[in-house]
Amino acid sequence: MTNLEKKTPLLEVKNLKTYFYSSGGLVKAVDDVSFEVYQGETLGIVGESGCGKSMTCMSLARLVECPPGKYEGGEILFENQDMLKISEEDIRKIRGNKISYIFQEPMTSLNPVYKIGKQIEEVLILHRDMSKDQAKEEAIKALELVKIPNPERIVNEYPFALSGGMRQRVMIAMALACSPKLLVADEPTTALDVTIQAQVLDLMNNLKQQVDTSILFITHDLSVIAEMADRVMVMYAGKVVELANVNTIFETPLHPYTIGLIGSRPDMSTNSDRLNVIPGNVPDLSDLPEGCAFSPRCPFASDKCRSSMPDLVEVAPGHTVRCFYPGGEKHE
Amino acid sequence: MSENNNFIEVRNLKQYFPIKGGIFNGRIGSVKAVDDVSFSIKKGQVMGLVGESGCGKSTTGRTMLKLLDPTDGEMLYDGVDIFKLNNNDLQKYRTKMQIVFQDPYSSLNPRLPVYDIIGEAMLEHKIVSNKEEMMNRVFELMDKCGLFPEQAGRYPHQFSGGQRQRICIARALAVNPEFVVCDEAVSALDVSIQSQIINLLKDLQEDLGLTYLFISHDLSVVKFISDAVAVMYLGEIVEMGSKEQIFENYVHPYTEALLSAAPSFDPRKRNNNKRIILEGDLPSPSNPPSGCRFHTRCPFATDRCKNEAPETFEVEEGHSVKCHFAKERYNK
Repeated sequence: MTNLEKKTPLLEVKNLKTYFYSSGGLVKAVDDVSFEVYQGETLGIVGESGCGKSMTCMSLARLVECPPGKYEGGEILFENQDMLKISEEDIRKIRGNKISYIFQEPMTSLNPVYKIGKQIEEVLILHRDMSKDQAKEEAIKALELVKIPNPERIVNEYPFALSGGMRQRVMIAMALACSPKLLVADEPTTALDVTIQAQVLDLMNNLKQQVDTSILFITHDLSVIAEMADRVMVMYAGKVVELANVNTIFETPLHPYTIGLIGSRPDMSTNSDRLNVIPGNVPDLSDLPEGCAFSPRCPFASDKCRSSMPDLVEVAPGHTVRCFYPGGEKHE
Repeated sequence: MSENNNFIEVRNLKQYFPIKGGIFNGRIGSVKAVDDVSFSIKKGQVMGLVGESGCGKSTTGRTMLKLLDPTDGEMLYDGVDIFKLNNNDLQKYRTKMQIVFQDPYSSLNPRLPVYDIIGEAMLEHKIVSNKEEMMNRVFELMDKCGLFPEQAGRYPHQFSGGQRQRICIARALAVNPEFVVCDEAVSALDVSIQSQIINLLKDLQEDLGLTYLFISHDLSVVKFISDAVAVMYLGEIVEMGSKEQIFENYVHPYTEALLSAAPSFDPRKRNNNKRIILEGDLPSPSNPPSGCRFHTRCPFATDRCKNEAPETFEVEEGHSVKCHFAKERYNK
């Protein structure tokens, strides 16, 4: 990890705020989020539905629909450019080229009326100025890379003819077609079966080594994070609550929410009688409690937590926590 | 109770769905969703049913409750074959068997208040004689399932996903069932809410002496809650046994692959490359492979597997495996 820290980050997000102005009031989907992604690493983002993890990632290439969304502040520095300030034309050159995305639903993210080949070729013709024939050849190579059998035949198929796992491979092939610097994978295996998930995760790990891409991996599944990430960022109610190396997160988590999340999973290797539980519900972002958003569900919460929001503090090198009582230490 | 002590016994259950086509829209084939499945559950036990999507696990659960008309087979409830009952007699058994579905958003009527959702079946089956009695019982059930009885007048949209699943559970329990099918009952919920619902299901099972068929694709959840486990592949049970037999002494190559595909919870274990990654996808159940249905993806398949369907062997007491090499693999 230490050698990563010396490097300059590939992507630097500083105090990003993405808000939504809806009829139900102001929703701070991403509220003051800062993090870095280094060259060649996998940063995992975990959290439950509505914690802002997807919106953080959508913001990176300005994919959030505005309005109702609005970038209220912060900087997204990617290759010395602030993604929030550059023109629409410039950002289009980056999307799908240097930053590419894989989404959860492989059925809805492929266009059903175009052949697989055409959808991959489109990226190549647009970003790499290829001729149609060159692009077709390259598309076949891209499908080979993700281990799709008979790529020459598959380029002429429509998405409906492929299974979920195959479609997700096509998505990965498309995302990697331009050798992006950053691959944003938003719950890429959530819709897949375990055996197919294992195939896709294995594939992503191999490709990461081959093409030296950094990956931002978003999931709600902690076991997938344990499998994939180098560093982990835990989000709750639009804010980062803990950020650390993957081993640290699983072995010595400090934020009560992270502790609760890790404790609440039935682990394949334990044989306890009851699961530990985080009481209460996932909060509604338009109606957050005062103070720390986790305080109503936190076993260690004090009056201080209920009135003011703790800052993100570095408790050890590379380990930051947003909590007044990290590790749930005793207090008066 | 029947003499062999099995509360629920499924014998040679078959569920074929017709494929229609041709000029007269006649039957041109069938999807063998469930093909000759037999198992039994003892009273007060939890049977886990695992497998990938499309393997027929949900169809098995639904056919057992006669929500779908079975193609063939028997389903003995305490010794009575419920498939042979006429509608009047079946009605009595309806209250004894209930189901909790996966999606708490689509399985509750949005236009009914919670007390009607939970109480409707009680009046219908004359478990309560008047509305006042019904309300008292609704309050009692809501309390038992971790809901606030004062919210009984609210509508489903006013509740979160976890609370809705609690309503679904309360509704299932309203008619005093003895057997409950949980069809992916926790799969759609957030991680921290999942553990709450799993604990609730386990508490209820112990307090009320319920018998569950717990259908899930999530192996760690199944391991946590089940006493016995059956593994399904393409409409057939390939391995069945106690929890320990399946998770620690698995014999069938598919069980082995399924268990090794589940990501480990420990980031330090990820580089032990013992994982078996299955090639390819689940074949279509309308045209299953010849011989052993798993041979197309099995790393140990031989010519015999391609041509000859294996029998089910009992390798030890209560542990059965459908594989030609079951005995050799068990002794290894």
